[in-house]
Amino acid sequence: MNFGKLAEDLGLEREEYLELIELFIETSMSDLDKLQSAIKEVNVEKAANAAHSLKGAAGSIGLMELSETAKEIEEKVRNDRLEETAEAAQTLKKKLGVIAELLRW
Amino acid sequence: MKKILVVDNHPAMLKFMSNLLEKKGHHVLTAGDGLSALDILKTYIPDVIFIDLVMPNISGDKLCRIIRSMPKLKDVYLIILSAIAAEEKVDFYELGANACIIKGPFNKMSQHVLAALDQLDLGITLKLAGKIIELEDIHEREITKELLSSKRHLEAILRNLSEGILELTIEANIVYANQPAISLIGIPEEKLLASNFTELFHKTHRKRIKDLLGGIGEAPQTITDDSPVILNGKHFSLNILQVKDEEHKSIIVILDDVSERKRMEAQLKRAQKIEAIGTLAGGVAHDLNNILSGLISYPELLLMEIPEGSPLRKPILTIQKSGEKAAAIVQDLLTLARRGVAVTEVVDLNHIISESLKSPEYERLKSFHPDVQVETNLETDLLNILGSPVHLSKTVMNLVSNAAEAMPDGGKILISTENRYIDRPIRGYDNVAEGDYTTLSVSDTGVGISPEDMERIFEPFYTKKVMARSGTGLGMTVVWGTVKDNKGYIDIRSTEGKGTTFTLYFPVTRKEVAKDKSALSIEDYMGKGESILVVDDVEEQREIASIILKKLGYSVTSVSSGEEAVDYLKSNSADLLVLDMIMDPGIDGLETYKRILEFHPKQKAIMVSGFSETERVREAQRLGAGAYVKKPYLLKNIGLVVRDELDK
Repeated sequence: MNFGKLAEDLGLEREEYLELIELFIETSMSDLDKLQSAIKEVNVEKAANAAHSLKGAAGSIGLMELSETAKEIEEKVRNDRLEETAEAAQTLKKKLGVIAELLRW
Repeated sequence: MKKILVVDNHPAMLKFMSNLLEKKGHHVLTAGDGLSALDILKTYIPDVIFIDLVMPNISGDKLCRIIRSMPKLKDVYLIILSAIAAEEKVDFYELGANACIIKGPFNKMSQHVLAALDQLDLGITLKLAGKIIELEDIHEREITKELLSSKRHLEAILRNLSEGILELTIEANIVYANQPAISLIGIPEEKLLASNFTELFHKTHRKRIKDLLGGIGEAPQTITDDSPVILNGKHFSLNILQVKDEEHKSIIVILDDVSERKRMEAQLKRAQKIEAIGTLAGGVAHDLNNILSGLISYPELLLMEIPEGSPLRKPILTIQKSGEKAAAIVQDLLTLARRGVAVTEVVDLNHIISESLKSPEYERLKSFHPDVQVETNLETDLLNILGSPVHLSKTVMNLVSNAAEAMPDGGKILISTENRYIDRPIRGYDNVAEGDYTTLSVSDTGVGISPEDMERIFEPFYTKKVMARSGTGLGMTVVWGTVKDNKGYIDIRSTEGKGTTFTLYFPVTRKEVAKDKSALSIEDYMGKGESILVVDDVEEQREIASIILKKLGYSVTSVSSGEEAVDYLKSNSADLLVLDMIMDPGIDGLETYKRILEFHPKQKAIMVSGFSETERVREAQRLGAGAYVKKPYLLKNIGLVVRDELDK
């Protein structure tokens, strides 16, 4: 993952971008926890809101792949296919974990 | 350099915006929700505010309205910055915002944000208003629309509840209020939001509310309708519960307006109390009534025997008068028992009033209160009502006499009548239902009635007067009983020190007033030796009836029970039965009459009773029985009825 390139695409300094993405990871981890517990509780409203928030934030920050995954989850939740989203949520979490790991370097 | 406030719940968004704007040399403050933004705005007046729409603790649209309602912030430049704007046509102009930017990737957003600020500098704000700064590629419209419509669905539910729902922060600041809550509390939403819930209450209630909020934990806290809190002049019960999700705790308050319920309860209790005491008094009165028969009837008979000019006449007349007075009080009591109302006639209330104002009783009242002026304002074509003239004139006199007594230093009493159509129920002392009414109002300019007295004014023997002079302590109770017996309503308006108005509502009848029967002399109802059988379980009653009827020229036999009467008639005959309705023990008047009809199908009968006409009386009449006479009876009453029936 090339943070420099992502920053450039968004017209931001690398340092600034890293700061923003750190905030993003932090908030998104909590959104993701919310999403996973909502899936467990079969709470459609809560799951959709969490996925929606993740999708928007990832889009803003230029992480289009993450944004797409979150979007798929939101769509499934909205279409009464909540049970199919657990795996995707897990994938999202892994990806976020990877980015968090990369940031530490 | 501009002073800028950014309000958004996403930390990355806030960081991005402050970096962007600070680099351009602006001074930037940030807030994570609507409430914190309002906190900052108490001391910081920015030139520009960026507001996200979807946020906890006061959403963006409401924040915009609140800001626009604050005089010191009315010129601030408001820019909505939201992802929703892409899916939903946001009427940002209606929210009071100057512009709207759609959220998207940071690079696009920074262009739009800076462009918006440039336009502000160029002073072309008006041109911008109305135009949403668009993104070239907008995805996912449908999904968010659903999200929005489900939010709107919830809002519609909340708006249509009868309870007020508030959401508070842990510090008791209001961050949400549904429509009913806003109207119950009576404060506009933009003032209500961000204000402190506890502060809404009067000082004396605040500690109670604070304790309640402080005690909140797992279990909900309540203020029940037994001891409601007062807000905006209404009584409320409260339900307070805590809701928690991952990131924030808040308090939900459910406001239930119990004023109406409280009022209805009080009304019901009052009516029940008067009824209960009335029933008791009525029970006693019924027994007294029988005893009084002797006092009223014997003097009349004695007077017929004693020659004019006898020294005994005067004391006997006094006994008769006393007996009649006692009977009047007993009648008052029976009125209260509600079964005691004897007569229902078509009545012209104006006539009752003018007659009352000619009565000796009224003259006496005037002499007690020389400084009181009485005026009338009577509707000319007043509709008739159904009622008992005796009780109605008592009601008028009682109200007038109370009014006079409420004005020890003199004043004015106005008696008025009116035809009124009530097209929507009136809520007052009583709840007046829709319909056509004839109203009687008696107003005075006296001392007024305190709320405590108002509560109890119709209770029997609840009096503020000197008993000896003013009466029985039953005056107002009779008013109440009379109105209730006529299926009417009472309204009282009173201001202490200013005066009182009683308004009685009587349902109208379309029947005409019957013409008075011309006075009859005893010759008109004398008997011609017809045989009469008196059936009564009380010995004195039998004796009185026998003596009176013999006096009138009938041949009288009497028996003490229904069973005896049946036996007697198996081997004898009678032209007419005088049947007591209530006999104990044994069969009652109706049953007796039924059994006799089996073998004398054309048997004539009249009925007598201390109580008023009951269903059993009416049933006997359907079977062929004649009129009904109320005890205690005078010679004339029973004489007329007996004659009438025999002549049929």
